[in-house]
Amino acid sequence: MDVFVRKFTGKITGWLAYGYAKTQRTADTLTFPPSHDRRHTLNVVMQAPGPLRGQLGVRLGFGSPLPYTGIVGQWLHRNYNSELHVFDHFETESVSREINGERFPFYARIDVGLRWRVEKWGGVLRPYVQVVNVLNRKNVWVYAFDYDQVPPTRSGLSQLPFLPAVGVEFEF
Amino acid sequence: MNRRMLRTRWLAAALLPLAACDLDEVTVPVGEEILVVHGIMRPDVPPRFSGFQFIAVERAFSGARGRPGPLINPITRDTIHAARDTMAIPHGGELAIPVKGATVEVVNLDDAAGPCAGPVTFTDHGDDGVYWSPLGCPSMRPGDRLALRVETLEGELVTGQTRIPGMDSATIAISGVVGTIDPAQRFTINRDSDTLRVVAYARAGRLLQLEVRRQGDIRDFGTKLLADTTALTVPGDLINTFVLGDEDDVFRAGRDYVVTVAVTDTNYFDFVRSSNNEFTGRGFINRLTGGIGVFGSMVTATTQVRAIAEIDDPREGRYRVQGVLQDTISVDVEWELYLARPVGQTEYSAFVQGRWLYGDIATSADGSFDDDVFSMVVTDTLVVVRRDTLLGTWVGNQEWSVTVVAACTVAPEGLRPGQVDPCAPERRLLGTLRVTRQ
Repeated sequence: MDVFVRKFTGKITGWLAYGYAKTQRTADTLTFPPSHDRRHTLNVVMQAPGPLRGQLGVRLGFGSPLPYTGIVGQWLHRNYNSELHVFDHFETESVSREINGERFPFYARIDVGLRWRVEKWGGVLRPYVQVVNVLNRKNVWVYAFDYDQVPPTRSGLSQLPFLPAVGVEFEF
Repeated sequence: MNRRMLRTRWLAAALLPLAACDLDEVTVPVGEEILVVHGIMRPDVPPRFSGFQFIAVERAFSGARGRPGPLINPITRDTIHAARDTMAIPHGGELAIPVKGATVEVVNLDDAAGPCAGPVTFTDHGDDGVYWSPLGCPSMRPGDRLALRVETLEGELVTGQTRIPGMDSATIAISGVVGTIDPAQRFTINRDSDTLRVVAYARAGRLLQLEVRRQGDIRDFGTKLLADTTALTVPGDLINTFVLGDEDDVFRAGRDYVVTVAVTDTNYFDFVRSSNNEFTGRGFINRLTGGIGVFGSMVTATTQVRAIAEIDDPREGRYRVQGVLQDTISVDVEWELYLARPVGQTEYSAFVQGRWLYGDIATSADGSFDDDVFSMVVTDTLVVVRRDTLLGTWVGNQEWSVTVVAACTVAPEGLRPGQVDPCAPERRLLGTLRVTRQ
């Protein structure tokens, strides 16, 4: 189900989009939610007059938790040496729970941008300042587990961090 | 660092600019110590095992207890292997968490009347979690089904089943020379111009595996090529894609190789062709019930292959090395030297044959050229683990000389605190030898 509302008039314009979805996959006898099974998705985009006669843009993104497969241990996947009949090397691999049986924390991000428009040198200059992920929320990209130590730990990588950018466009 | 993990991390590194932010490390609840079983049944078990099979039983890491130190199997300890390799099972290795006191049984479901009829009990002779069969049992004929049952003292149960493959014979063909794959035979491949083809006359097999390892170097990870057919052809200049960041060839000129052709069952095929992803934990095709690992089987045929190449660099070719070391030991060896293929060509391998410090040798040595500065390490793994180092300056077709630095023994446990490194560069000078182009 999708809902889309847009405002065209007034000083403040923008739109709101909401989506509700539920997805399942079946492989052989196994049914599980795929990695993109996100129940709720909300995007709010707003434009308004900014300082110094610029234009302010704000975008809010929210996503309910995505599934991932939980890790409960690590095993040594050994390499068999057929010449000598020994296992002589190994690779450490994860032991998982049921497929996509757990969920990451929810996703949320706010981006803010300011743009100006100046006619110059026979063209149009558009300087801008923007910040991605203003609140520096660490939205999870991937987890990494270490069960080879006591106590076991979880680390990982997040998606885009607080990311400021400055630039200028010139149209002629 | 294992290789699949390396690949995953390269991928993660490539995507890092898109994320570039670590999550804080947090403690998580203890996981599950599931049972891990590794057993490959071999009807043609190598002579060194005298008809014994083995099955390793361990637990996965759950975070409840740390990794134990390397374990040395006191029954099968082999001096050379223990010195050179602390990872192998059963020669001496590291099990994650060995499972002791389990009941391990294998029964041949298709041989109810033979001398090994009924469940065959594998027993552990130490604390290493390696369980050994009685001599000559279980019986294994091509097509027979073997069933595994592992029950721990805690009542956990792991079961699996394998169908024994068979191979009547196998042949090898290199540059028009065709022969039966036999341990006593040695074939020669010119890596620049030849291909190697193996054919297995198989029965009840699922996979053909071609395994190439450097002779005498059991630390070598080697190369495994898999095909779900009964014949395989590889070019002599095939690159070993398992080596990341240090690209190498399957066949490097100047080296001897052991080539093993194996016909395996389905379980082994799945065991080697699949793996769990580091992040998702998925991917491995597990054919065990109640645990993870493999209960498979294979039959093999082995032969030797010597790799040579075209002589296309002035530093390559034959040399004779003569002189007296330690005032009394007469040395006279011949080198057949080939530069390695990778860019820069500073590394080389050479066949070394003749009378060396401790007697006659026929081996392969590695070394490098730093411009004209020559170095070589002659490592002999057959008599005693030694590393004799030769240093000199290459001067083309004129006679030149190399100095020989004392060999050092590689300790299996590494250096003790305060111990002087016996392999340090400043170790004792043994003498100087003359080198002449042949």
